[in-house]
Amino acid sequence: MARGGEKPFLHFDIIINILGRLPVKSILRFRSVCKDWNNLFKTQSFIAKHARHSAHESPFLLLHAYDYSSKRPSLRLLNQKMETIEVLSIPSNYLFNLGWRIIGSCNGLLCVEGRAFRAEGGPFRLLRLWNPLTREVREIPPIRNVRPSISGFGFSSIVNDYKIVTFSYLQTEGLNYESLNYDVRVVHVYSLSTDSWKELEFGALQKKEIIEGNVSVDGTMAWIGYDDSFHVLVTFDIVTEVFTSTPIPSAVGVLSTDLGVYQNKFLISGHHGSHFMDIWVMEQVACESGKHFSCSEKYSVDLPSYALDIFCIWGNEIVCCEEETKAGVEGKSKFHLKLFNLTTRQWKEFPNISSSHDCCVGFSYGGSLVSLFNPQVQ
Amino acid sequence: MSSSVEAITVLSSDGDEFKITVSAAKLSKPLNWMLEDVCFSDDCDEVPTIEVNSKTLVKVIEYCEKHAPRANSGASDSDAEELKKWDIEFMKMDVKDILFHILMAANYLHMEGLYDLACQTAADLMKGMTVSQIRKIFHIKNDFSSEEQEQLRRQHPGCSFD
Repeated sequence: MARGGEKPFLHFDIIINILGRLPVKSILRFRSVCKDWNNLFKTQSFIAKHARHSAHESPFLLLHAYDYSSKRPSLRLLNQKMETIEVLSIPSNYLFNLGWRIIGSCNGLLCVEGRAFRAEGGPFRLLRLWNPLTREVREIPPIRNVRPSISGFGFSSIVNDYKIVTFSYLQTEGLNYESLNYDVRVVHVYSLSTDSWKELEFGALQKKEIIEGNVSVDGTMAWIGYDDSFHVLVTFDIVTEVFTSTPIPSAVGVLSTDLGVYQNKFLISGHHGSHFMDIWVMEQVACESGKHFSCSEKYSVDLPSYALDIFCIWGNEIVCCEEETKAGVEGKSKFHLKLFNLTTRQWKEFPNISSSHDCCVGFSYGGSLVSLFNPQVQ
Repeated sequence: MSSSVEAITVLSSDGDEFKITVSAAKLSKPLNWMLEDVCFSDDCDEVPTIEVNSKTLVKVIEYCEKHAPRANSGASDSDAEELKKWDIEFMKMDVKDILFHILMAANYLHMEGLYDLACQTAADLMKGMTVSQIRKIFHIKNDFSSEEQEQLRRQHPGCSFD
């Protein structure tokens, strides 16, 4: 211990603890402080510790606003006070002529899908992984002879691997629409550690329609599925690569659903087209035949307005968005955010969060130093 | 330890005496062990020394006394909110002069709450600083050779060593 009058000299483990709480931007700047720090920032243990802290203690709200023409996408990070703390620069080769979408966000990495139309070959889609803060990009090899429709992205700390699942239609020959066989669906999984795709068995997914929009917790990806007018929670075990399907109880009359993650559980919201939504909490339960999910809680929430889009669950809050279109003005809606606190069950409003684009989506995002070329997070 | 004892006396590394209530001392594992091991009964003369300087110990004890009621009995949400505000005010201090000493003391005294708070405060203060400001407060020398600096600049355009 330093005595009075001496200059304090901090132990390196204390310094590591402090540095693990810094935003990615500061860490990148502090690479040049000294060799010890520069080396520390490259270690897997530091990157993993930093990613966990950033995702759980102070996640950002990532807002992606774009136009149908895909000319000027805007991607920015907001803090808990709804202040923009960083505008992310989008790599120029991201400007696909049919735009791009964020499929999922995990440990500071985004899985994005670019859509483009080529004079020869027609429409195509390309998946990429991207760490917007370190600006690393990795292209995912395409799958031959299929046309991807719905994808999902997740990570498992057990196998230390990121995986992408894609539901596709079989494309028999050529590259145009006519050659697509909409009756034959196939499912593939990509593993970042092997950088390759493989085809999977449908198993529990037979006859189920998967609805776009995926979330993940460590080890599991999830979607909402539809089966003869019943809503189901479809999960994919990232380690065993097995699908499970769990019926969502008493979801009769539900018109649309959204899926989120709260405290490592899946939260499903169901809308009836009226002034409330139902919330189902789906929890994982251990049983002899492996993992299963069951509904542990269901309640209703009054909505402050009729038409709300649900973006994500961010910390303690469900982030909803209301779109206000101006009559007579082409495109360019105003977007108002409405946050529902899951602890206090109160609504908070943040009007006019974006006003110069056609569309807006949001994700909970913890910035990280995770590298796409050496990506383990333990 | 006699149950009648409500406060104990400790010495700082500067040799000054400080009083700390038993419930506040329980926030620190080593102090708690002292309470159990060393006799703090009325007829015991021994005053244990804590290897923390007086200026820092005043702050550590202030933190313990404030947090002890909540740690011992749990608290309502409004109390937690009030305590959060108090923590922010409490942490308004000079980095080098006192915050680093508090960090070392919290680490040495195994006080998880204070350690966490001090680490976060330090991180919040550091995040906007320049490289040379960081080197100054941590007493770090730039040990990159000019070739290494050049290499780092090539890998990361815009990288600054000042």
